[in-house]
Amino acid sequence: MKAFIRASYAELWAAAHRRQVRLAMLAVVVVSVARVLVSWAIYSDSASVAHQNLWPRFAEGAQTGLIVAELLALVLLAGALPREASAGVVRDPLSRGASRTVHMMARAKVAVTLPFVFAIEAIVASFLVAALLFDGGHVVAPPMGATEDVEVIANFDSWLVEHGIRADELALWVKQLDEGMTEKEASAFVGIPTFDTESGDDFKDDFWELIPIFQFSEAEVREGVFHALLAGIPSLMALGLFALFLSVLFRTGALASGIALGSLFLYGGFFAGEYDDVAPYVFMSWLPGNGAMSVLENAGAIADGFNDVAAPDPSSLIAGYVAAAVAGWLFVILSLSLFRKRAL
Amino acid sequence: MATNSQPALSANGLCVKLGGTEILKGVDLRVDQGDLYGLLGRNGAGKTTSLRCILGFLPPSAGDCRVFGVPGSALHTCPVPIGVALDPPGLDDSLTVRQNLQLAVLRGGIENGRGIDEVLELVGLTYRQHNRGDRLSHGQGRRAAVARALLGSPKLLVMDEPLSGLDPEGVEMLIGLFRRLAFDEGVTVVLSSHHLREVQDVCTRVGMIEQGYTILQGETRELLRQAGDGLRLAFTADKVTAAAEYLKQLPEVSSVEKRGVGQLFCRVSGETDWQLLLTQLANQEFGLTEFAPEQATLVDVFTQALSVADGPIEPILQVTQS
Repeated sequence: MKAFIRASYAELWAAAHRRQVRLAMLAVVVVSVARVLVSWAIYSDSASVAHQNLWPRFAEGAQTGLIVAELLALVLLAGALPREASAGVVRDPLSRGASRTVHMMARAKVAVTLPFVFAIEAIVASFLVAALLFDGGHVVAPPMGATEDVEVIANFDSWLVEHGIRADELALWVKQLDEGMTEKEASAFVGIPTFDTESGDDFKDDFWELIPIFQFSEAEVREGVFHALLAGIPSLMALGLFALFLSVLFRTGALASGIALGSLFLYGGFFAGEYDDVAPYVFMSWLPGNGAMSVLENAGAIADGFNDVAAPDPSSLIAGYVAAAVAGWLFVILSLSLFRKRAL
Repeated sequence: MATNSQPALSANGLCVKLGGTEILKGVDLRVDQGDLYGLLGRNGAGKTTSLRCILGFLPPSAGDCRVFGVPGSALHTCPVPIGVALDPPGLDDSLTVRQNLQLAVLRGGIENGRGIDEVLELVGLTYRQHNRGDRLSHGQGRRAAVARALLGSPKLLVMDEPLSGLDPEGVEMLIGLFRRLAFDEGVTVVLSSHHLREVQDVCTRVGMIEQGYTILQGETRELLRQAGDGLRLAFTADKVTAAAEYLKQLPEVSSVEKRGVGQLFCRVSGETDWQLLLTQLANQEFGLTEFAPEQATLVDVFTQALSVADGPIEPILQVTQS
């Protein structure tokens, strides 16, 4: 156990200090931030209030960052062992009290940690930038057949600012009215000040048609995105272990990395679509970035106001977790058995 | 637990197949504790493969190899710390020299003995400690690998071509270092090398591998004595061709070789009265200007052993001090 702790600490230390890993970490941050900035450039003038919400933009940025994170983790991890073996780097740990099993387990720990760290980076970077550029709020859709009278729209915007009320809050307020609450009760429920809708002096009659349509509460969307991020963790870990297995299987780093990337692209582009019955049982389907059944992509679409997107079936989600766990352990066992006989 | 009588490193009938090719066909080595052992052999003879196999980096197809009594495949259970610097040097190119050493310290849990600054100083690499592995020259890479092997207090150092690519100053520095480690600190040092002159100066025992077999193993002094059995004489003469022809006809002369302009080298049997031979040569008026008896070197041991090995490989020749 002591040898494993020492070996895994050393491998993590080495990974944290390697130039390629640091560059990859930087790339993940840059891509995540860039994606959110692109969204900001596209949607800042959008008429759709839904697009200007923090949560879909965050989910979008995180997913793009995760796509890069998954690709880089695959390339780095799959190529590492062949490169280290041919340069004789692996001999040092094995001559310092680590058995082949201990060394491989330490590498497995890095293989699980690295994609996870990249993922955290993508999430944190995209959240910070999205929070800076977009406001949170309930998910709403633009009102149907609303007036295009610029003056009315300007008056409505001024009214919202004057009362410190957001359009999405007003949408929830209307939803509560539809469900039978009084205006006073609805205002209390939403947490906005009460206002006069009767006299027409405060809330003008033509403001009603400008109120967006409520779709999901912020809490629901936030929870959905958060759960989607958590749902990606097992498949990310399995991905790292898949890369580790390929690194033990192949002699050259380029071949191992190429096969790793090829598997991911072929699976996503061909297999997952062709054999959709089997897809839930393959860990790659559930990858938050490149996965054909990415829960994060799904949650992002829901947060973006697409009401034709269904949340994933909980039983298939569980199948995904089990598939990732089984695949992960299988890759570890295969890596251990192959590495025991490998010439170094 | 390692006992003093246990060899630091041993191999018996070691065979290795790589990709269907038999690289090692029967390597027998024995390195006792405290030895400064030189492993010799031509390029591709199997020196590196032997060391890799003994240390458990390469599974043998047959035979037994041990490090302080522990099989190479279980090197992690070896009771004494060892330092290894094989070929290639095994530096992580994306880390600096210092980071490579830090990593080794972490991996080995090294708390006592030589630290990073000390080993860098010992191999003369302090000034390049912040350079990445891929920015080092071949020789500097070797030095860094040796520095890493020296970390802590290794009782056995296994070095594969540690002198390769080093400048003369570096060779002298490392040779001096190996001597100090072996003779002052009792560290067992195994080094494979093509620098026969340096190996001869520093190693107490040598072994030679050829075509995957050990063809020679023994104490350096004794091997040199046997190689120089008989006299080795060097002449400088004006009529060198005539002198060579004359010498070839003498029954006590076993070989004659021309070396450079006007130089002759011959080997004569041990019973030869060389003063009489010299007088005979002088009387023949070959214009003899210089004469010197020569010591045998490891180059002679090496070439003699290889000339035998060019035919069918002989069983191991063990030479111990008589």
